[in-house]
Amino acid sequence: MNKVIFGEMKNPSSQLNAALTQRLQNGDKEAFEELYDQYNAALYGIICKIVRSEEVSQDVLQDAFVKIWKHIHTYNPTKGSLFTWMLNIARNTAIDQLRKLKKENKVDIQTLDFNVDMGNTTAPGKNENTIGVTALVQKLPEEQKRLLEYIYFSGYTQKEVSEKLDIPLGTVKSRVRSAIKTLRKAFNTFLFWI
Amino acid sequence: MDINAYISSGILESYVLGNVSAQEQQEVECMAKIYPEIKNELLQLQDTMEQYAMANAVAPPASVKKKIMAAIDQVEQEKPVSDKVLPMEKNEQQGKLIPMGWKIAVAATVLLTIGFATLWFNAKNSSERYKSQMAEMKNKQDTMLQERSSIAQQIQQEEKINFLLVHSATREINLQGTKKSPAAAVRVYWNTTTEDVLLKVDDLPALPDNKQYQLWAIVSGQPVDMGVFNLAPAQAAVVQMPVKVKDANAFAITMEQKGGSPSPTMSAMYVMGKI
Repeated sequence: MNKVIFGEMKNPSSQLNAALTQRLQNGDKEAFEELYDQYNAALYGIICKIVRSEEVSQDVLQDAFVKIWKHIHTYNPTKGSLFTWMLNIARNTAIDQLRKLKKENKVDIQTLDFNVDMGNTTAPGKNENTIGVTALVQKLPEEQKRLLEYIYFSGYTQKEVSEKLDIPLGTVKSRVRSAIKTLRKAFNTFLFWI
Repeated sequence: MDINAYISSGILESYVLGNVSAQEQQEVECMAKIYPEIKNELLQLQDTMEQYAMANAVAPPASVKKKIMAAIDQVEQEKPVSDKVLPMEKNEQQGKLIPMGWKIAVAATVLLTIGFATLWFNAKNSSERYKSQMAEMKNKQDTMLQERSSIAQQIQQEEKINFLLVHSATREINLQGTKKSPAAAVRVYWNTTTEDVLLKVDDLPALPDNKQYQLWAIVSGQPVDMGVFNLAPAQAAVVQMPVKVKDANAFAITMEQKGGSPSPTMSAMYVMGKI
């Protein structure tokens, strides 16, 4: 049952994305505006989690969207969704920016501790659904959430996290895996109930 | 291949979290292409991370949108270089923006190298082929030139013979068989102006291997060597003898050792004719 709803949720959006991708690749700026409206908050949220400065985040968001516009022809739908592709660009741009700042000694990412509440504060424009999901994310075991954020928001490899936190690599892997599994289950259940 | 072991190895999570090397990335994409289970797992993981991102969404200030819309007005989209290169690039490229130029450069270099190598190889092959063809044609040409000049000589010779045969100063002398061979008959054509001597064998006995016929002119009672000839090639044709003679009284043919004798062997005289 969950899966059925999951599937129904996905298909129309992927078809819409195919049309949107086509328009973007044709250089349609209205399509870009739609893309921005649809995804700006999600990308901005991720970027904020990584660089943790509103000013820098806004610049990174701009860089990321410019890259998305410029390189839309390299997006390959057979490998994944447009959103995942955009998330990767936003993440990589943010992490690159963070490393640059670290080099300039403006930020020391080694000593930064993760503030798990960062980015989860209710912001204008957030709808009720995402607030509900946020609540589910908060239910992740602390260690899993921490690992996930280390890897996803700081660009550490699983191996680096294992060394940094002195946890065996196998444990890191299994914890990351169960974290994502828990998330998936949470999302599926959530979609079932809305 | 244990698909479940691969799925639970953590590499798919690393891939989705963006923490894999370029090599691992290719591996995962390759595996996803081969195994639908892996592809499905990957799509679900990506979907989960998308929802995770949505759950962490924060709206940026409205001013950012204006800035970004203005920024993309200044930015040209990077179009694929060519239709042929694009699909290959697309497969390699997702999410990795910077190395694209390098990949295109490498692809172009490889294509160019293959192209030039092919061209060079073809050119080398062709040139070798042309060389041997040229040599062959040169040979043929040489042969044909030789044939042509020998034909020309022959024609010249025949023209000369014809000229001499119908010349008003040419006399025909019939040499008749001696007692030794009464059936033998040879005609000698002698031009008293040019002093050329032609010979047409009508009938002479076959020659043993070590013998040749020799023509003699009798000048003032003395035999003069007019040259030797073999019967076979001369049998049907008129041949010109290599020696000229003036004031001959008679002609005779003897059978001699190969190469001829300084004086005729009288016992081996086959034909004779007086002028």
